[in-house]
Amino acid sequence: MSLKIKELSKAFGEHVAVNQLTLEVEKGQVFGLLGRNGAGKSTTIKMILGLVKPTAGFITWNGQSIETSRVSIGYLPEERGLYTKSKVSTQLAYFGKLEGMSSKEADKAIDNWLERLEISEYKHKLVSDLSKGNQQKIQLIATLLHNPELVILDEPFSGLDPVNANLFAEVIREEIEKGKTVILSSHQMNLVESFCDEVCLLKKGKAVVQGSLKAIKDQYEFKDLVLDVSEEVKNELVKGEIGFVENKHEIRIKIRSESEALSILNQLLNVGVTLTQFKMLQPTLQEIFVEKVG
Amino acid sequence: MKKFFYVFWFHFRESVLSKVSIITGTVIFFIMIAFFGISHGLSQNEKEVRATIIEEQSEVYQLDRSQLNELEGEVSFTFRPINELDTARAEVEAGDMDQVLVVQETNGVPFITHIYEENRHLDMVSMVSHLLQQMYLEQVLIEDEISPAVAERLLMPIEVLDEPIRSPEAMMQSFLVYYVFGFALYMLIITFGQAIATGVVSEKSSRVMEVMISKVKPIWMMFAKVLAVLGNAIVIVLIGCCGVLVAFLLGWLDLSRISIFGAGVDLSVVGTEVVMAAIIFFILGYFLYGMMFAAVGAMCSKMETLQTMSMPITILVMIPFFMGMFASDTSLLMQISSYIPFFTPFVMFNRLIANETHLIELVISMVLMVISIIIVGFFAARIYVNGVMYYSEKTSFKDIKRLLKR
Repeated sequence: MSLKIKELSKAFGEHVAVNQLTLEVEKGQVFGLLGRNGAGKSTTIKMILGLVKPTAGFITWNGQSIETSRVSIGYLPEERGLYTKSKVSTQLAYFGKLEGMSSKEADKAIDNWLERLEISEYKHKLVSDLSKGNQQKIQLIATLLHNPELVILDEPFSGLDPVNANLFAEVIREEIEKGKTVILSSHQMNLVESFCDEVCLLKKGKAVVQGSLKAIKDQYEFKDLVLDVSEEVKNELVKGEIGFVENKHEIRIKIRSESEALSILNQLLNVGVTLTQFKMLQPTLQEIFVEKVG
Repeated sequence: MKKFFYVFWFHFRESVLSKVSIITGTVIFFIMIAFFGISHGLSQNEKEVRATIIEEQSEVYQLDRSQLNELEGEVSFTFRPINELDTARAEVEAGDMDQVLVVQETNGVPFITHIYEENRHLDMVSMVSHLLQQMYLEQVLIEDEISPAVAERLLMPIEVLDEPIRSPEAMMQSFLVYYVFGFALYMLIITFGQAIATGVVSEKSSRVMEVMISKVKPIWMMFAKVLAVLGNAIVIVLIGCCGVLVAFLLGWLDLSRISIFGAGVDLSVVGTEVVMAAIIFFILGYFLYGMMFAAVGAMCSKMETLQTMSMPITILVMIPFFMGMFASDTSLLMQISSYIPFFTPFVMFNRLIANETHLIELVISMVLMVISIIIVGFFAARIYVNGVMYYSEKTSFKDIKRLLKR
């Protein structure tokens, strides 16, 4: 089972929000859909959900058009969408029934999820009486309640405190372990890195980088060479006209290859500089993101 | 279909149990009880008019007490001599007496002085004046030696045969019944139509719409929502009826004494066909306007925009409501308007009460309304489907055209 997007485009008047996007998400895979605000992530998600009709291209699930495939989707929207004047239990049961659950199944699942997310005491409260973080938990329950095959999470961690962000991360990991196919859109690159197998970086509706995270990092032109912070190291780098960035604990130098790193090492050792740290790091997703779409 | 039912039930339950509905229902329930209770209380407190008749000593003009019995229960009479006139006047001024009639005579011609504080009791005055007129005539006949036969011929009243096609009373009755129905329909359409539009806008602005339309087809959502709000309207009307029932059980409901603006309402005008037509016109009118409100709600992203956008519909409801009240039931304007589906619920109903329509006309107007509901429903659904995912600060005619096309 896989989600395939082929040459997908969406234009709003003269503005092209998504331009010839092609990608594939395999079953059980976690796919990161990344990009700056307005890059076309939400429009792509809305087209997958059938909320927005594409101008061109098509989306299939397991070889069948997604509109007719009857795939069960759980969607967590970027801007939370709940009936604030409804009770938590009533609303979740309503969403569950709309996804084909019986009242009994829905009630049981609601109790389990409320307990899992540590908010059982709010079962009979109005959504408007809950804190923002707890409302987000309810939204996550509404997304996962009916055990969907495809989970689409649009900025799932925004506005969460670190404890709740960890709880959300745990829950998402559990869903991944259950074999769910997940599409994740987020600006928190460290979390995307920790979850995603494949990513797609969008810029003005077009995919600028796409593929497995490892391959993308391997192919990335620059790597980071990390050295100790010391005056003699800095002086030698300045003498050798080597650009570097200094922070509190280390000096970072952008290098293109291992030979370039060895050449810097030799240069420093030849003048008798003492080094306690010399390591080459792969670029972070954040760096690639800034480089490619910044 | 199951999903349609879930959406309907959720919105019906939520709207019936909402604070606004509970407060509205409670207020209407107590207003109904209070209305009939107050009417009942006032009717209980209606006292007999206290009247004093003061007669000057006269051999001819002495009122026959027994003839005044006709006003028994309405007026209680006391008779006093002329020397108590000042006392009686003082009693009226002090509020201890309501009316004083002083019967006097000048040159053999009787006259009446009517002393009262604010309200004249016309029936009493005309009865006393009529009795004195009779006495005066008899006196003239005797004095001038006119034979009874001549007198009879002279006094023969010209008969007026009253054959009104539509009496002013009947017109007043139809106006009053229309006023009650028209006002109720107007209020229900505006209040609950706005509730539909507000519900859609709040779903859009809270983005719950995005979650919903990935689960249910927007068209189902629209019809389920319109139906749910109608259900809520019916519940509130039934709560009002419960208030009337309570008033009835308390013995406060006197159908013969119901009045609007001080005019008594003759409920015999309201037959089964009028009640049936009222229900049908309410449901058809509600659907027609309700779907328009839903479409308008789908076009707006903010509550502030909704007020401006829904104004044309509000005006469209106001026009036929006021036409029904102020235009002549028989005018060509009313006849034509009664076939315009947006006006039909008000204007045709008005013509029905005024007895100015035939069954076939009613049926035609209802069929036209059903056709219009289907057409409006088609376009409203199109706007709704495209509009629920449309977010814009302002909505121009160009946008509406685009929403209809997409």
